[in-house]
Amino acid sequence: MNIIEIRKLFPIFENYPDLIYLDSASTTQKPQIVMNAESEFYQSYNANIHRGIYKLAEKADQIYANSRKIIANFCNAQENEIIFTKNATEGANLSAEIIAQNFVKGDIIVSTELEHHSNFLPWQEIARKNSLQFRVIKVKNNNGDFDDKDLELLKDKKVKLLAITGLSNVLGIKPDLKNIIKMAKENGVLIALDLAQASTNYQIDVKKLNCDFAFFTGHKLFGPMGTGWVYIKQNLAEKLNPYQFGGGMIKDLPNKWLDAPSKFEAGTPNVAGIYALSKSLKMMQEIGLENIIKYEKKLVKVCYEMFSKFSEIEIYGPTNENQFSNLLSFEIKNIHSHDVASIFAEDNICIRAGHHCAKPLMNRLKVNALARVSFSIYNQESDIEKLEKSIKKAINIFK
Amino acid sequence: MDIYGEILLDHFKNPRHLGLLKDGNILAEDLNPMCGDKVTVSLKVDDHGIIQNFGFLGNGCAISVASISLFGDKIIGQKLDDILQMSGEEAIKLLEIPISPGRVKCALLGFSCIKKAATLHKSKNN
Ligand SMILES: Cc1ncc(COP(=O)(O)O)c(C=O)c1O
Repeated sequence: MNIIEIRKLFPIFENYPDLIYLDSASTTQKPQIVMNAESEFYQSYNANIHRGIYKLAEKADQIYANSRKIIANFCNAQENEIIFTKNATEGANLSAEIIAQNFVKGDIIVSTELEHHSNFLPWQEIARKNSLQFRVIKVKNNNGDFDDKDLELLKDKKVKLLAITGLSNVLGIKPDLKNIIKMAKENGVLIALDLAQASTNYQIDVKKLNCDFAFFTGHKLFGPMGTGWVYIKQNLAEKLNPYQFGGGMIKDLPNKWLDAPSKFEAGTPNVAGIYALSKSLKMMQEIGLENIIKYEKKLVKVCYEMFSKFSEIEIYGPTNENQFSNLLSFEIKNIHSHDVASIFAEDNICIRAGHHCAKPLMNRLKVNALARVSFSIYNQESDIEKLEKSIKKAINIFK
Repeated sequence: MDIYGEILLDHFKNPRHLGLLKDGNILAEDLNPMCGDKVTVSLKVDDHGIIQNFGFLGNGCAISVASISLFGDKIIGQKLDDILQMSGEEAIKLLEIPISPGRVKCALLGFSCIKKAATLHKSKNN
């Protein structure tokens, strides 16, 4: 991977040569090809999809279908298992709405303390509205391990669904999905996986993961904001009813729905955005996901070692290099993470600070707010050197 | 922009008005949605609606703590009604320290809590 060439793909670094962007876990910067694809669509292919009978509309239809193929391929799904959404959050809400129709009063939905609110609140709410039970698997340490006794809950016959993350956006750890999903499946529990962070950290294969629902968000994958998708396993999707109604989803009045994915995609979708997203995934494939992951992990390792030099810094997350992801959360003793972020911002260093939309986990870790750095392909080791200087500055200010 | 100037750091490290009032007659609590930091304020208001004394509890970032401390200095002797009329922008101006847009919520945590207390007091007395 040639970092100089890679940085050239992202115009933001030309516009802000001093920018040190360490917040890619929130959203990645966008490559020129993504912006080009969006404008290319509007300039050359713009027409509504859904079987228009003229050349331009046919082309738009074809672009939409082809993008779906690329995106399905990215996570090893079939094309009709990919439903486009505006982000991962919408994917979780859609899944909760359509599956809850099949549950009965007293059934249990299980989530975990490791979740981003987007794979927690939709389930908690749908449980409340439908008189279902909502249970949460506790996290037992700063390494993000689950409480063993709570995991036993998955053997309860009333449990119908487990909503779990593929990678924590705070601790950067991947739960032991293989064993947890195996245990849940033995009891017929459905799996809803949040892959918003996971999809930049390891190769996703929804078949191997053996999940029923999985949510993705385009803007963390170098794609445009307002694009995402949810995977729904085919034999499940066939049985489920839509939750939004309108154009493009009906075979015949009053309620003969089209097959998936159309029945879950009412209304005009973000075709240009989806097209651009397919281009960003292609870029990732060309660079090679393995290379991307390896590079980001290396930067995390360098950053981890730099953090470790400071007795004032406490790191939250794995200590074992094999478990590293592309992010690190930390605290500088006696300095609130918001103040840390503000001081870094004065040096053009962009990090995230706060509760990271993961309040159940923050409560468990007994912190209100944490600072987080996250790395992507356009970051370089010099970013970490500059970060070190700003850390010293922050410590000095609050001495 | 040098946010962490002398005044701010002084009010953060040595906050004025720390501790709730023993003879306060209004109490309110609020939290910063960005980080979950909590603050509690107590006010002593006389029969003419004038703020006689102010105290607070809570720990948070330097900007939120220093701002509450500074607000305390500014509001004692003021009419509760005037506080209710004051906008967030005016409150920020009152602080006389530079606040970046991303930190406005931190800077206004104390103010919004004081406003909440004032609203409570009014609705009770009406
Ligand atoms: C683990 C995780 N899940 C879900 C989301 C939600 O993504 P979006 O806001 O794009 O729906 C995020 C985003 O921060 C995340 O980190």
